[in-house]
Amino acid sequence: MVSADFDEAEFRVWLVERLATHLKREPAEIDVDTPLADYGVDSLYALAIVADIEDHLGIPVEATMMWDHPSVAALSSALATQIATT
Amino acid sequence: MNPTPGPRRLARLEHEFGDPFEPGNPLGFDRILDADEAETMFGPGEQALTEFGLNAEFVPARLGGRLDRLDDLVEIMRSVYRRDPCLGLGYGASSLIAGVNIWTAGSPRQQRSAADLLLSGGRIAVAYHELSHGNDMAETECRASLEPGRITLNGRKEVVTNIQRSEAFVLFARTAARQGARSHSQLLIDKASLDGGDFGYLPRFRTMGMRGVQLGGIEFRDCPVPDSALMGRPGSGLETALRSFQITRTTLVSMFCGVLDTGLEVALRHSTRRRLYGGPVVDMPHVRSVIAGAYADLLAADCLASVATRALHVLPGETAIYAQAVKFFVSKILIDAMNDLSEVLGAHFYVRDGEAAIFQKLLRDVQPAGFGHAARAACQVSLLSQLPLLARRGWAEPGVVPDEVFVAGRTLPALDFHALAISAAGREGLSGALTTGLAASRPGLLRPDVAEAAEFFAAEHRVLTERCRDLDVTSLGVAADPRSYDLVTRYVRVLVASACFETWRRTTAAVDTTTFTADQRWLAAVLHRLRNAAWNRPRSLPAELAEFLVEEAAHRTTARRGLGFTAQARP
Repeated sequence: MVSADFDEAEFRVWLVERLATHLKREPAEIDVDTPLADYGVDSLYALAIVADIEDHLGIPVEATMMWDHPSVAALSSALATQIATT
Repeated sequence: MNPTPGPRRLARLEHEFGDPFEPGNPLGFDRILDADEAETMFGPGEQALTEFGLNAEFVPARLGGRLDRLDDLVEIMRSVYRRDPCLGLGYGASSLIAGVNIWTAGSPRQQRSAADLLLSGGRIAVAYHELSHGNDMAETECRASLEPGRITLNGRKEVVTNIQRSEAFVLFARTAARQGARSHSQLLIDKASLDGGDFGYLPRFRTMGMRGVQLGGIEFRDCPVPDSALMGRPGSGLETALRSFQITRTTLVSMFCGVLDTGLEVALRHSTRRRLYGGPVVDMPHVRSVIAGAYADLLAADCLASVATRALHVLPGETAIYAQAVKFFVSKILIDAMNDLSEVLGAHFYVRDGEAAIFQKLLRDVQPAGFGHAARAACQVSLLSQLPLLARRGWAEPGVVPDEVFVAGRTLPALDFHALAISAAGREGLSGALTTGLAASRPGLLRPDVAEAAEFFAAEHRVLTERCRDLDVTSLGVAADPRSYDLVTRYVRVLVASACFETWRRTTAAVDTTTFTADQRWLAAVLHRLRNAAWNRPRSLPAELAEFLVEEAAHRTTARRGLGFTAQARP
């Protein structure tokens, strides 16, 4: 899948749902600007979810992407930039 | 300039230390035990290692040292560990861990000064550990406040080898208050730069094993250090640790194979000399079975660790997985085998005098293999969380593992510290190599017991791939159901079986088939043990394999050769 048509809003919804499942919370409880570590996302899970993102979007993503962009909003926007520039 | 080849350096070290069992040897077990009783490092041993230039083994060749192949480094360090693990850790491995951090993240200037310090015989400690947080590095509290022109340290580090007697140390510190993976950094601190600052050493931590090792701590109170101490970008500390620890977790636990090597030699000597019920103890079938089993376990440990060590050169994208598997598997099998052998020694494993006295020290000294530098359990839970991704990626479509990972002595690509991936992202080819290798073996080549066990582990690989693909990741953190931990144990057994099968198969195909590695009986013995552990059946070896291994071990001991695949000559 080529992700030229990356839909940032749709991606956010997908990611929030994944995280909510992992964290055993309701999606509505996850604020997109709050650092995920504050919800208890640890550094190893942050590496694992990057692989899920790769599979979901069909693009390679740096393993440390979520370390460097640690909220849903920051990550979505960094991915949008990556996709737009490659 | 290329360093002298590893096997020649190893031969020189062995020659300089001589036969450790020899009663008059000033570097032998009697003197090593004296130092242990006094809870001090073995001074003459440290002196001899300085003369040998052991530190040069930790410094990359490009910086004037002798480190070019990690498998050579491990062989040399096993030779130290088989005599005195305190020398191995307290003289050697502590500076090695620091060094690997510096070669991974240090600036050219930091690398140069660290290399010069080590090459001149100095020590670099590695201060990561805080008692309150154990293996949870992200929770590190010791703080380094980065300000223009200087860094201020606050907090403490505990249970750190050589912190007081080192000339420099690598400090893992919090450099940002927020939670997360970008809040830590390493600093390389020259002790001279602490002069006048407010810091103090904590009292020594006393231990059950490795009694000579100087474990201490350090506490900082608004202690300034120059800003040139920072290694890498601020916040890159966890990333550097995840890279460099792949090297040190794999190689350090592999070095402990030297302990079991001596344990086996002590058991053989003792049971050969001692007579009970009208004959030598070693002639009792049960004793032979225990010795053979422990030897098979040594070979399994050696094989997995050696494959993972060479993979650090060849497959640096996959070793984040292998390093954890090595730590998880090798530490436990070594400790268990030492416990098994203590049965052969009877009361003599408990006695601190006499020819078998070194055994009780080694039985204590081997314990840190299971928790030092990283705990087995931490590696297990980390592997657990990666199972679904492994099942979907690396197990479903295994990558190719080249021959040089399995066949000893082949040319290896240069070690590239930066090529080590912080996450394997589910990609590893080792566990699947068994299935491919089995399919490529011509009919009739395999012993029936090997073929049957190999089929069993190939089937395990398929079962795990199915079972783990859709494992619920939400339940795979530290709060995971204890039953799911069993999946890691099963997976790691497949990795070990695959490493052993392919080491035998590729070595047989590639080299002279008269070598020990090409003899299918060791493989049969290892697979028998692994497989019966998997089924919770008695692991005692069939008589034919027990005889093969006891005769091999006895022959090697008499011929003054090591028990590993390399059968290293000994003084």
